[in-house]
Amino acid sequence: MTIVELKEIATKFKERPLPGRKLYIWHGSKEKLLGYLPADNIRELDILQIAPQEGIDEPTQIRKRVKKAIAQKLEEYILNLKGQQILVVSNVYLLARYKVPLISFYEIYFSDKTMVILVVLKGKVDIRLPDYVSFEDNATLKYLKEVLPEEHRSNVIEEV
Amino acid sequence: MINVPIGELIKRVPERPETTILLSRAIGTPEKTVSTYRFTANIRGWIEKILEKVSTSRGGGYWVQAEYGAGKTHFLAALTCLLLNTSKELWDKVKDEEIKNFRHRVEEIKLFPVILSLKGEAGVDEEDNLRKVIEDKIEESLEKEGLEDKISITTEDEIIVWYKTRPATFRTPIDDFIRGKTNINPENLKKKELSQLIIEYCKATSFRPEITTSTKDRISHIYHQIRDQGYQGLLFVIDEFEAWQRRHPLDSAAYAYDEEVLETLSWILPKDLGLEIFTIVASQAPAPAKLRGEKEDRFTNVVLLRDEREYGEIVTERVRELVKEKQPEIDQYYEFYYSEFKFLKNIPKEYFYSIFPFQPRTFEAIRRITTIARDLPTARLGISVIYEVIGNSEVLSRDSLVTASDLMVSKDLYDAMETEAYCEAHRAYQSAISNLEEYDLDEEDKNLADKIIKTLFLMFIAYKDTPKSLSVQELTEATLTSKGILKEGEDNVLRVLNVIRDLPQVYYTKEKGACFKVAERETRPAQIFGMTKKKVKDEYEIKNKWEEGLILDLHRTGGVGEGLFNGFEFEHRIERKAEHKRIEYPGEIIIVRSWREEYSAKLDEAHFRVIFMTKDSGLNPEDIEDPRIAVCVPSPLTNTAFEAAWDYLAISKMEEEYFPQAGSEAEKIKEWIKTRKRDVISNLLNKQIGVYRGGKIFTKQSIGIDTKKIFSIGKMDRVLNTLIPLLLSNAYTKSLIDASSFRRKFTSSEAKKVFEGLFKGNKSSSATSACDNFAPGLGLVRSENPREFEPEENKVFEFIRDKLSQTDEIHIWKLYRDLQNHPFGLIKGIVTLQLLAFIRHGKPACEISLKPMNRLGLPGNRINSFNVANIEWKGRFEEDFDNLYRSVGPDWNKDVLPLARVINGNLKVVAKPDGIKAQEMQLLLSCKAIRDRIPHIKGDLKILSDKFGEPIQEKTLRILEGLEKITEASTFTEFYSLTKDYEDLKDDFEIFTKVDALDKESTELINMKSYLEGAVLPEKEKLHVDRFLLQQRLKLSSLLSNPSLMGSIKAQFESFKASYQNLYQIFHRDYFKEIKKLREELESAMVRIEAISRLSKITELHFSEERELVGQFQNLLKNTELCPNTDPVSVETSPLCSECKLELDRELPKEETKVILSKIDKELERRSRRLAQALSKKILEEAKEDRLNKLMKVAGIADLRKFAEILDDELISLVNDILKKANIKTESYPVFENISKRYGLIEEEKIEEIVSAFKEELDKAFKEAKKKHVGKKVRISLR
Repeated sequence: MTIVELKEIATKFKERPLPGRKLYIWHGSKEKLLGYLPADNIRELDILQIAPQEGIDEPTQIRKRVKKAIAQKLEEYILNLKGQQILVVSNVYLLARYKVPLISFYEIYFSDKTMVILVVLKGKVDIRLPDYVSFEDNATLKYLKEVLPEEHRSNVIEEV
Repeated sequence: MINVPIGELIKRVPERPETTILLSRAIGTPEKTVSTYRFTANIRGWIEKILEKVSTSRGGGYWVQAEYGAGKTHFLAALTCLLLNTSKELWDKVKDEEIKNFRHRVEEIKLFPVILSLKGEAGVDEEDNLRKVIEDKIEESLEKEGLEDKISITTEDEIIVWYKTRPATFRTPIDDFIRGKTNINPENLKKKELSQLIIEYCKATSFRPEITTSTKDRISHIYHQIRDQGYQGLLFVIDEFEAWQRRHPLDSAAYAYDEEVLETLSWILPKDLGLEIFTIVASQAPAPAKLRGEKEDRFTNVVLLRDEREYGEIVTERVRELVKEKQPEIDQYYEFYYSEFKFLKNIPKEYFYSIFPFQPRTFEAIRRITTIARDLPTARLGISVIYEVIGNSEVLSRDSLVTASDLMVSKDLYDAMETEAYCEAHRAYQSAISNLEEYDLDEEDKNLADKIIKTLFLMFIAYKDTPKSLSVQELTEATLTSKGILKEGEDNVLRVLNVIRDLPQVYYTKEKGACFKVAERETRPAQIFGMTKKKVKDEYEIKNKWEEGLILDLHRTGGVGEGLFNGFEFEHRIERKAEHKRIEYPGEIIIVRSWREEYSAKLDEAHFRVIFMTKDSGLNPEDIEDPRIAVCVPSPLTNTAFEAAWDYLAISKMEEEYFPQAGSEAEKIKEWIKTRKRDVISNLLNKQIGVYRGGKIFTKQSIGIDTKKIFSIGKMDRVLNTLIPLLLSNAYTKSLIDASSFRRKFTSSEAKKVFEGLFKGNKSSSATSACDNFAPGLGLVRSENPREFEPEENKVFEFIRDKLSQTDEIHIWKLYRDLQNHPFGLIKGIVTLQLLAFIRHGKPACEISLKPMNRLGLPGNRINSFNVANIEWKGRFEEDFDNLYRSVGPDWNKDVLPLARVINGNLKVVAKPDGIKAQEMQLLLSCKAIRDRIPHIKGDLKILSDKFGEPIQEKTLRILEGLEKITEASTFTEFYSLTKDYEDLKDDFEIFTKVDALDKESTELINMKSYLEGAVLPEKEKLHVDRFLLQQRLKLSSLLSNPSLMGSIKAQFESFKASYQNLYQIFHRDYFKEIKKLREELESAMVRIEAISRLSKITELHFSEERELVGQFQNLLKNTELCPNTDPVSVETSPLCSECKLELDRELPKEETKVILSKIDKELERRSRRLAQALSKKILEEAKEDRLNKLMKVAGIADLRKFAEILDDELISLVNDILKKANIKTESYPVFENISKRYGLIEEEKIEEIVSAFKEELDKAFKEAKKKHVGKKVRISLR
């Protein structure tokens, strides 16, 4: 998928609700993405912001708490929904890190009036890492492709 | 007609319907979910089945399968809402009354919900399996229900619970192990760490903790805990299973494990353990085989959205409401479309309402485009598109249904068409629409063209993988093209299609119908044709192709036309009929590629032979042997004809080459070939007649036939109808019949009709009409009376007579040959008819002998003047005729008539064959009547002989048999041969007449005989003598010799019967008068008989049952029954009364009555006395039984008979009790019998001795009785 196609969809979406679940993965910087989208439809969700900050250290618990936090936030958004909304989700790497499922989006948020764009930053490590450290720079994308259903798996837009 | 726009009949829903239903959100808003849910018939069926299952507390699994966007989630949500909330408030929101009725079945059932949607699910704790996800979800659900602390779920919990419930002696080493490992007390450890350390300990010590680990045990464990919390069972709702399953490849361990989890939930736990667990899974794919089970008894497959109908209903329901008060106008729409179109013929009216205002094909298109094809990024846009369409003001302002073409007004659909999957086709569509402007179409046709293109385009993308064409009729229906003033709707569609098929995007043929095509680069089939033509330039092959073209039929030319000799095969004789001078002649036609000698040989049965040569083969006309043969030889091929044949060869070769090829290029070339071939064939056919027009026609006599005239028109029928009469008029120059007077064409079937009309008396209209039309011309009748055979100046008869004058016998085949051949030219049917008429005429009397084994079935195997009418005219029956000759036989008048008159005195002298035939018929009818009577007479004589006890004379029987043979004759000749002596026949027939007369009286004779025998008369009666005399006269032998005696015997019998009847009636009346009296006496004794019986029941008195007396009494009662017939009774048909069969010598049972009554009285008295003795005063006093005492007083102890009569069962029982208590036993003892044995005679001096002996006997009796009844008082009965 290209940015042109995404822009087209976003423009149409601004005009009227579009049928079906709309989820896209933006592989690039959030700022650039926001520059392409109609500003008045945007709502941002920062996973890091809503994730519980303390009191848990077990991955299972983190997974559950993050999942719950997302669900609560999405419930809130959907309750206050007025017109079409593009949800730009940042710090998605947390979902991959703790294997947080995306079911909340599918169970709570999707509608003809909503669109989700998951922002996956392009991983870059400037410093030289020790040999025993293996850095997987596309781990988040890999996780999303694994978890997302077929209809959304290929909706990846690369920043150029 | 309808004139209300649809905009006034529907109301679009105020908000754009949400197409994306989310499970948890839908379950969270149950009122909205159930109130907006459309329960189609299919869905209703499934929901009812599931509710039924839940209501009967039998767990199970359901696999909801449907395509993407088909409403699985909405189905799950609605069902879950109804199962989890059974309140009346919620169920009242359901629009379906049948579903509503189910509430009371499930309202008491409380299920614990575990609801999960697997889209976006990621697996839990590194464990990517369904069980973990389900457990996770159970935990969430428990939290929601506030049960998290009451129910343990995970393995950690179970291990810790297990650890904590161990005895201290068991736990201490574990605690030591943990402290040793971590230096921390176990109670300070976190759950996970603690459980892991416990597991480590178990491993180190090889100990296996008792923790449930299988899915079955785990869920079962959870289930029982949840049950304890007041839930009846578990409800698992799993949506988007396919999304989850796709993550695990088929045959992988993870895939198998997930299957096992579902199998456990849906089958093992409910069936094996009887747990009320209901599992409903939704997936786009059908349930895997393992989950369906071998007998399809595990997951029940719930198929949603079976067809477009269901889809249409659901979608329409979501986007609009009908304006209720406008129902009549909607009805008008239905009536109009029902009468004008076919699409409503097979769908119920209710369905029309449920999808109004849409034409059903609209849903076929949108459903396939949006859901089945699945190439769209927004596959759920069907509802959205439909919503947009009915928001379009132009659509709403129309007074016609919405069609598939209207879908194109939707922006959503337009956007979808711009996606990669459809953009190429969409551009082709746009090009087609814009190019429409270039066509000279009026506004109406342009609109129709626009609709057609849109419909074809939508059907193209709807059936992208399996392209589908639409017939003209289907297109007419899909575009709802009504008939105009002059033309039908289909004509209009066809007309416009024929114009726009010029567009590269529109493809149409009559056979395949119309479809949309994405135009590709043009192919050049014309060039290929040119190259092929060059390649196949072979003169021999081209000429062969020319010849092949001559016999092409309509099928092979693809409907273009027919070859000149269509229907023929080369070198194959075809029978053909042709009319000449009002006679239909059979002949033959042959199309010949190379000459054979046999073609010019003489004709046999055929009257003509026409030979068409395909090329000049050097025929010598002198070889032609019969003037009725014509040979048509064409001119050499002209250049244009050769060119046409060459084109035909080339196009055929091209077709052969491309026919097996596939692919769009090849398809296009094949289409081009199809069109070009039609032109080629058309050209070829047009050239054929020319070469024959320029050719020659050869005959034996070279009569010079003009080919230009004969082949002036290229129709074979016309050619033959001109040519054949020319041939025949030249050959048949001498006519023996006057065919010019025939009123219509004489065909071979007419001969049969004339024959039947003249000789078989057939008066049907076809037979009489045939006689009227043809018989005068054939010389068989006079013209003023055409239905009466009377030959006049018959030239065929003259011809035959002439032949007969030359010889005694003529071979029939020669006669046929001569008459059928030139110069006479009679057809076979006419020859046969004339021949049979000649025989019938009998001048001279002739016969035709028939061949052995012939099929005519005539006696003597010959046809003569008398049996011509018996012939059945069948196909080729004349082949059985052998020879014709003059006939011989007895003369009717001289030889046969004197004998025949013995049988039938009315027969007379006649001269004509018809008259003789009529007389013979009368004779044979008389014979038949006699023959039919004889078996009856024989049978009756046998019966009479048995009844009268007299044998029948042998002579009589012999005569009957002889007559039977004679009367079997089937002709007078046969009759004559069987009966030669006049006197014998006369005597025999006289005896037959007598026997026959007597036979007619046989029934009456038997009746008289029986009546006389049955009458029972006392000897003293005078009638007894009368009867004797009458029986003496009634002898069979005398009646056979003189049947006239019968009259006086009958009179004598009637006189006897009258006297007998009077006598009988008087006797009957008086007899039963007396019987009545006797019976009354007997009936009055009934009460006494019963008293005797009752006394027998007093067992203590030991009475015998008196069966004999009762039996005698009952017999007498039976013998004195009255006759149900009323007097005077009839003895008209039988000598005795039909009911009582009373005979005149029967006596009244007076004496028996008297005796029996006396016996009854004596016996009763004896028994009463014995009772009185037994019930002595003392005993009665002791018994103190009031009722008995009172009764004894009332009845009077002296009148014991009366007392016995009023005894009932209670009293009998009482008496028995009293006698038992009295302790007295009565024993009978033959005291007097013993005395009489000892002392037969007594003298005076022995008195003392006898008294002493009597005492001895009594002592002995008492001694024996006391021995028998120890401790009882005994009495001895001397009776």
